Amino acid sequence: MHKLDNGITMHDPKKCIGCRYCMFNCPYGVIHFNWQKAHKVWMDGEALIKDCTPSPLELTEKLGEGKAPPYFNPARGETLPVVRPKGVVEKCTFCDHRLRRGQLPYCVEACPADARIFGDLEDPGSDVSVLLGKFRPFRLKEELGTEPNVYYIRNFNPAAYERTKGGV
Amino acid sequence: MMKLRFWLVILGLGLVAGLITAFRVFTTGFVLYAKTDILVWTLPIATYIFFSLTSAGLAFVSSLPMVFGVRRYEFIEKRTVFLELAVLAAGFACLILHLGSPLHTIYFLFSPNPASPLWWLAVLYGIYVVVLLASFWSIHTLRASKLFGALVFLVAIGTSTTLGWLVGMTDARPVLNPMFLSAYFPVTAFACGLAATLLANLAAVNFLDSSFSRRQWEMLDELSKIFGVVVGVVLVMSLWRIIAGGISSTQVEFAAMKRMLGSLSFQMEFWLGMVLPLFLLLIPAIRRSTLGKATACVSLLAGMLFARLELVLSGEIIPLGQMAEGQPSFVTYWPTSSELLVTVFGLSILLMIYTLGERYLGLDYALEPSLPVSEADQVPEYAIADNGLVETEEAAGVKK
Repeated sequence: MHKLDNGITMHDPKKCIGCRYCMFNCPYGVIHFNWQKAHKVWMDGEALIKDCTPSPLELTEKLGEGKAPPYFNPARGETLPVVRPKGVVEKCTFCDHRLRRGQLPYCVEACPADARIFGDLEDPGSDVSVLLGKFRPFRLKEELGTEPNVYYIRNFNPAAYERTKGGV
Repeated sequence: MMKLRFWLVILGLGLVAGLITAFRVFTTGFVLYAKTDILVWTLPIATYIFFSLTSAGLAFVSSLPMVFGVRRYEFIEKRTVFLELAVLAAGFACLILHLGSPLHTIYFLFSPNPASPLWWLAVLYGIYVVVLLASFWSIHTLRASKLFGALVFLVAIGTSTTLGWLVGMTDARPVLNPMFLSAYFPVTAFACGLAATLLANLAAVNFLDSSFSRRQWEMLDELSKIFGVVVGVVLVMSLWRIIAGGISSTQVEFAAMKRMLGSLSFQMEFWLGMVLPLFLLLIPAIRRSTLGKATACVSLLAGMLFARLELVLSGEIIPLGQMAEGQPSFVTYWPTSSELLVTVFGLSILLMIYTLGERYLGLDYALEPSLPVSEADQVPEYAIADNGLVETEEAAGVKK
């Protein structure tokens, strides 16, 4: 686990030895371990519809491992292995590959209620900074001194701010 | 010879079962363990902690003659150091079967993070293996080196206390206290080291061709007394861990300790690991007998294996953060067959290496006798009876 320049805590599957110490010690329970091959269905030799569709294994062999549906996300491969390796830990990356392109994390983008707002806490003019100044935010388990960068606003007046998803 | 072959076949079966388990774990994945995202540390790492600390404890014992110059214990030196190597190898095997990607350790070592106890532990183990091999070689070639002995002793202090730092630095699990564990681990390690030393020497006399002089038996009795004192200290420390760290605290996380008091692992730890050996060692007649010593040693070692499991589980049976969603307040644990086989694998490695060492490396005699041979040493043969030493007829004949 390490901090990126933008403040995101990031895992590195090349260096992770799979000891799960970070999981053991994470007070938020947000780190997960790949107990087995994450995309093992790619190696399934059984076709969905016999004599009609190819089996995942046939498709994988034809396209090359890591380049077959249904989970293939080429964009993800820009910063992390596109096929999630087994025996290492992983956590939310805030879609760091999207952030590099100036895009918002996908959960923020997709949230229909705009309940997730993303932005630069260092910038006093950013939407997140303005909102945190306007309402009374809190963070989980602040007493542990982990200084999390995820804030929660419980009580707010929806009329008091312009609806936003934030910005990068 | 038949007995040895039978013993080697049993150990061979244990190794084969362990290798099959290892292959399955690294091909199928860690789903073979009683894995959940809550119980991330289970029996394999508890077994590793047990072996690692026992190895450190053996280093403390071997330091008595090698570092502190207690020359009357020189006769246990070579066996103890070799046993330390065997125990460490068993610990590494269990550790590898705990790690998801053990080959990545190479990246881990070469990108140092001095703030991490895990990195320090890896570095210390690297040094430990080298100085331990060098120390054994120096004893084997009759040039026992005080320098290597001292290095082994210092690194063993480092590994046992750093392990306390590692397990204890988990701020999210306040029930595991770093300051306490860095003292508790070396003390329990010493108890395990004494038990393993006594057991190995008793086994050498009972099952191998080794024979000890009266003086050497007296030294084993003396070690048993030290062993009794250390077990007493372990009991007191454990009671304070329970009282101060568990029962008297109102913190939510400390409820895990109270919960563990009713668990099988705690009961085994308390009764087998502390009460029974202490009881046996407090009674002089039992303490002097071979059976009494052996029972106390086996009981303590078994209890301490449960103690390591209980310690690890006490830190994680309360689910934290979002992992707690949909989970009970306390999760329960029962090892899978694969996890049990990892422990069997570790034990088989330990016993196989040790048996081969006894057979081919002559662990009895390491050094030229450094003490003048006393009158007592001249009594050549003593048989072992359950109630102590009995001079054999042959021995008596030689005397005449």
